[in-house]
Amino acid sequence: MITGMDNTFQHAFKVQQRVIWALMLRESKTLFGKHKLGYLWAVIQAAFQISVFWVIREVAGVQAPHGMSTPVFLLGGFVPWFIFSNGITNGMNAINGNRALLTYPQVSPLDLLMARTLLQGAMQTLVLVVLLIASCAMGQEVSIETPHVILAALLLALILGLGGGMICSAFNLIWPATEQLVPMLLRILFFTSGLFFSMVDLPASVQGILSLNPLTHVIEMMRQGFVSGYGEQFISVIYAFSFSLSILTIGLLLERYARRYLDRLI
Amino acid sequence: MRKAQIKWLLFVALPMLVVLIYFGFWASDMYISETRFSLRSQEGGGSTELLSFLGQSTGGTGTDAHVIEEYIESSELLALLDHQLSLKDHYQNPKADFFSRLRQEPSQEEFTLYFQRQVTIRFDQTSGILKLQVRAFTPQAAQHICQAILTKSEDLVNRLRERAIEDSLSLSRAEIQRAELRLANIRNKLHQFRQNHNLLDPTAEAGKVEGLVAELEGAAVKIRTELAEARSYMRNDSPKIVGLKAKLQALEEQIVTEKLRLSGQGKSTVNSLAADYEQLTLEHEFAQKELVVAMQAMEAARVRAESKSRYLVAFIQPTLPDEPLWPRRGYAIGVSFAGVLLIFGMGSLLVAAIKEHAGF
Repeated sequence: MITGMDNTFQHAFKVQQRVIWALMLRESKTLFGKHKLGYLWAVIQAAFQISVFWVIREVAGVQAPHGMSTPVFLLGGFVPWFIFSNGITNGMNAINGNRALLTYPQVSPLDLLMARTLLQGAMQTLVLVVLLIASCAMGQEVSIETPHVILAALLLALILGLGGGMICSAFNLIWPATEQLVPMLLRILFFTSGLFFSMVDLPASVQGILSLNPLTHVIEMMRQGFVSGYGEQFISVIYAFSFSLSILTIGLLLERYARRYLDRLI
Repeated sequence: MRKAQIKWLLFVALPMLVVLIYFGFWASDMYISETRFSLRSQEGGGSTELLSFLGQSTGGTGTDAHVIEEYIESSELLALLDHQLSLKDHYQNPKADFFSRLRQEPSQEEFTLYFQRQVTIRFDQTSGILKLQVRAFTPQAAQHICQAILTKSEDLVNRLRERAIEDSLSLSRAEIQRAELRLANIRNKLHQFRQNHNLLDPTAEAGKVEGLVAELEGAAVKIRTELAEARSYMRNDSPKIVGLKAKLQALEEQIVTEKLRLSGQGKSTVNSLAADYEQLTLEHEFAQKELVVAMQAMEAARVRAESKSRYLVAFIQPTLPDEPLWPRRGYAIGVSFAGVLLIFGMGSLLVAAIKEHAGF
């Protein structure tokens, strides 16, 4: 009986893999297929945002802390942020955008979400690699001291984005005004997650409040991966990890709960 | 039993049972001794609030506090403490449970890692306060270890301070040595000069000679007057006049020799000797003043260095714990329960999500 159960599970897993892969391919076509430059646009967008803040920091004369070069410091902030925020915004609209696909019985709403988030994660990792090479070529100092910390930070950002996307898409089904509300919340997070400043520089009282935001930990972890020893007093991996898992669990639960609203829509 | 019940038992009840047994019965008590201290300097308090907000490395008490933090977690301190208090024996206590005691024959790195877990040091940037907590299996041991760490840290701070003062004083010390050497040189020269010319003070000698000359000239004038007077009623070759003439000549000769001694052409006349001597005394005075100034500079440097230097003030001495506060059993059990539930919930949700794809 157990082998039988395992077989169905393995089979289901394979089916889901294929579904997600197919959705990712489709998604990448719809996201970038219509432009001539294609994937390059993702790189250009990220590079533009980063250079804006680079110029601001340069003009203000602020040095990146701990001997990091400014583009590396900003990449450490923006890449996890893009993974997270794109995970949420794309995930929130995944079901509305692809409702027709849900008529296929193999495709579950979760697959749509996961496909989009994974695609975003892959894209942003590509952006990270390309921009790191670019800043290296521009003569900036780029060091990757603990790659596994970078990978962990990317993974945590992905989980946070996926969980957040699930929660938002569930709320979006129940209460369509969510779509208007989430960008506002994201804007607040954009300014409080330490994308373009360092938590280490803030006074303890502000640090205490901002450390409730798991994204700050993820971002500082990312930077720590570049320059080990950075932000050691601030980062709590356990907090970021358990928060991400909680978000994911709540997202999975809400996604199940919201399905009854989805059925009504179809 | 149903499948769901088996899963529940396997993934929630069993891990929770293990956690409950460990924290409820097995885990040995540990006592926490705590101390608070700060690094103070005479100028200003230990706070670097304003600068830390600007995000600059302040280089003040903050840096020194980080030095202390690193030092407390170093294996060097651990070796000192182990030597002093035989820490290894205490933490290897066989009565303590397997997970909280140090294993037998640990490597240096294992021991350091273990000790770092028993010691927490926190530095609050805004208030400049360092908080040190030490865990041990008995209250006394916890307090002793805490006290020893505090003492060793204080030693470190003192060493740092002495080094800083030494560095800033070494320059002025060299200056003083040079001034002293110069003064000794000149004193030597002065001594040599006096011995060579058999004089104590050429200036006084010159005054003496001048007085002598004046005296002689006065005597000569007196004799000339006497001579003129005698001539008015005596013949030129009278014995008195001849005697007076001889006396006058002797006086004039004496005056010429004395004057020559005073300011003749030679090198060793009293006047030139006096000039040389004055030069030497001037140099002597200079050297003396230089030495005084150098000494004052050193004193000022010392005051400056000491006012800048930091010293460690423990305003809460290591406490003697009364109650074993570690492990936090209720908290640990609660957190593990939440964690197990979370992982189990997430796992079953993911499995369910995957299983939706079965049958295609």
